[in-house]
Amino acid sequence: MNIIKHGSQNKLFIIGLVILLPLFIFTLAAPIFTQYSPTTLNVEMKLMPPSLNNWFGTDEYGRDLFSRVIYGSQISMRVAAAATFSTVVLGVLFGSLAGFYNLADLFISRICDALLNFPGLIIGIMVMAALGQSEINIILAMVIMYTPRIVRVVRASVIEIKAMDFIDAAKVIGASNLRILFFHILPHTISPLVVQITFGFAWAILVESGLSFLGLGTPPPAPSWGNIISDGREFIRTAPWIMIFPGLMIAVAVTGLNLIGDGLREILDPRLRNTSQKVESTIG
Amino acid sequence: MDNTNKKNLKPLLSIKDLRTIFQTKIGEVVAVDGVNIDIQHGEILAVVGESGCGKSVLARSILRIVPYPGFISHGSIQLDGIDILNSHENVMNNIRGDLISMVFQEPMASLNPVLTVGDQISEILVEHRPKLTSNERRQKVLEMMHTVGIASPENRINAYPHQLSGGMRQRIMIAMALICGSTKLLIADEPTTSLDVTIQAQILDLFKKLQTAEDMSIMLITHDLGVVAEIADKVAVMYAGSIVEFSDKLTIFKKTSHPYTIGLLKSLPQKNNSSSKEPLYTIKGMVPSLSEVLPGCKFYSRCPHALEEVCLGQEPPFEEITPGHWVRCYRLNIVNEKELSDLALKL
Repeated sequence: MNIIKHGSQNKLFIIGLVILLPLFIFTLAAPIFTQYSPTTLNVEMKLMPPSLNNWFGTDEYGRDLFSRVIYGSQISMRVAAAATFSTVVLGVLFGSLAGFYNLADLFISRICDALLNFPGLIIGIMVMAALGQSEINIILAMVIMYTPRIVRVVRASVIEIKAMDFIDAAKVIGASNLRILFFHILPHTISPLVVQITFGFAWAILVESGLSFLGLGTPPPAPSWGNIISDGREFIRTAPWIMIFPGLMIAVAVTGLNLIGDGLREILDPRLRNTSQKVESTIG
Repeated sequence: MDNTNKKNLKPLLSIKDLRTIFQTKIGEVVAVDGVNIDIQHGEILAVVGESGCGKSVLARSILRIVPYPGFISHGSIQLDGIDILNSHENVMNNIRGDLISMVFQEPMASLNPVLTVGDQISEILVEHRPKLTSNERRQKVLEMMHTVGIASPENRINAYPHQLSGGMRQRIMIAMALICGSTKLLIADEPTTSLDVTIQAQILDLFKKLQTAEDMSIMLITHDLGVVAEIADKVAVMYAGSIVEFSDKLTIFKKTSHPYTIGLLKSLPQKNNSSSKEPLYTIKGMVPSLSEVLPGCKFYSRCPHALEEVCLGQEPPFEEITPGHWVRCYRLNIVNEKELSDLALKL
C-alpha cells in the first residue's frame, strides 16, 4: 500500500510509466494495432515514405515499417527482459555470496574481474560465433557481459551493510547467517540494484540492437529494432524513415526505463522518502 | 567465586577465568584477562570501567559474538547448566535472543533502517517461536510495545526507525530483547549513554520494572556511576581487562577499597559545593594499551599508592576482604584513611 502511495507521488516514476505503458500495450497487442504482417513482401510498395496507409512508410521489400517496428519491439523487449532477469538472479546470488563469505569472494571476484576485462561486443561476437545466431544465444551473451556488474554492485553493498551495528544486533537475537543475508542485508541492496536493473534493461535493448545491426543478432526475416536499423542503413539518404522510427523507439524505451529506474530508487528507499510524515514521538 | 556455594545457590551465569584475545598485526591484545564473575538469579550486576577496559568485549564473549580477529582463548561460561563456550553454533543461535538478550548503546545503529520496527520485533518470534501465526505474532508485538511504554503501538508498529525518537528506539530495542518472554539474562551495553538525562531515567526505571516483572537478571555495562547508584545490586569494577573490585552496591560506594574505584568516585563532580574552586579530580595517566604486557598490578602506573617492590612482579590476587567484597590490590591497608573519609563526605 505504502509503495503504491509513494509511487503515485513520484513524478519521475509517473512520467516513465506514461512513456512505457503505451509501448508495452502496443508490444503485447501487436496484431490488434497492425494492419499488415511484418514479414509479407510487397515489392510494388518498396521504399514508400510515411503515409496514412503505412504510418512509418515501407522498407526495401515493401514491408510495412509500422508492423515491423511493433513486432520488433516484441523481440527486443523479450530478449532484454529475459537477459535482465537471468542477470539479476545470478548477480544477486553470486554477489551476496561474495560479499558475505570471504572464501567465495576470492573465486567470484576474480572471475568477474576477468569477464569485465573483455569488451562487451567481443564477448557477444565470441558467443555468436561459437554457438550460432539465435535468441537464446543473444541472451546468453548478455548474461555473460552484464552479470559481473550486478555481482559487483551487490557485493559492494553487502560488504558495506555487513559491517553495520544492526547486523550485530541481528546476530544477538539469534538470526542465522542465511536469515541475516536475506532479511537484513539484501533489502539494502535493492536501491542500487533497481538502478542497475533498469539501466541493464535499457542497455540490453541497445546491445540487442547493436548485435543485430552487426548482423549477429536476431536472425532475419524476424524483425528487431536493431536489424531494421541495420537494413535501413543503405537507404539513409533516400529513405531515412527506415532508420528513424526504430531509432526513436529505442530512444523512447530507454528514456522511459531510466526514468522509472530513478523513480523506483526513490520509492523503494525509505531514507530518500520525504520526511513530512515523521511519526510524532511521545517521549522526547 | 565461593560466596555462592556458601549460600548453596546456583548462579544464573558463571564466568570462570575468561580470556578473550584479539590477534592483531601489532601483537596479541588481551581484552578480557581472566575474568571470574557470577550473576545470580534476579540480580542487576553493573560492570563499570573506563572506555577500552574490555567491558563490551566481556559482554560479547558471553554471547560468543566477539568480532574478528578476536576469539575466546580459554575459560568457561555456564548459563543455567548450559556450557556456552562448547555449544554448537545452532544451539547458540537458539540461546541468543531467547535466553540471553542484548541491548546496545546506539539504538539508531542497531535497528535496520529499511525494515519497520514491527517487522524487526516480530523477527525474533519468527526465529524462536516458529509455531506462532502472523496474527499471534502481531498481537504479541503490540503487547510488548505497550509493556515497554510505547504509546499507541498500533500507530508505531509500521514506523521505520528514523521516524522514532532516540528514547522510543531504545524502547524498541528493549522490546526486541524481551519479546520471547523467556529471557533469563539481559545484557545492556551502555543502554542510556546516547539518551538525554530525562529519558535515561525513564529507561532505567523501565529496566528495573521489567527485571522484577520478568524475573530476569541484568548485566548492565556502563561508565556512569550515577546509573550504577540508581539500579545496580552488585558492582564489578573493571580495569584493563580484569575485575579489580567486586561487591554489592553499598559496599562499593561506602567501603571503597581499590585505589582505582576510589579514583573513579573522587572524579565525580560534586553537587553540594559548587562554590569550591578546586579543579575536578582526575586519575592521572591513561588506560594502558591492552597490548602491553604489564608485570604486576595493571594499575601500577596510575596508582597514587604504588610501591615498586610490592606492586610490580606478580599480579595481585583477587581476595575476599570481607564476605562478598573482593579486591585485587596489595596495598589495601595503606590506602589512605583520609581519602576514604573525604570520599564519604562527598557521597
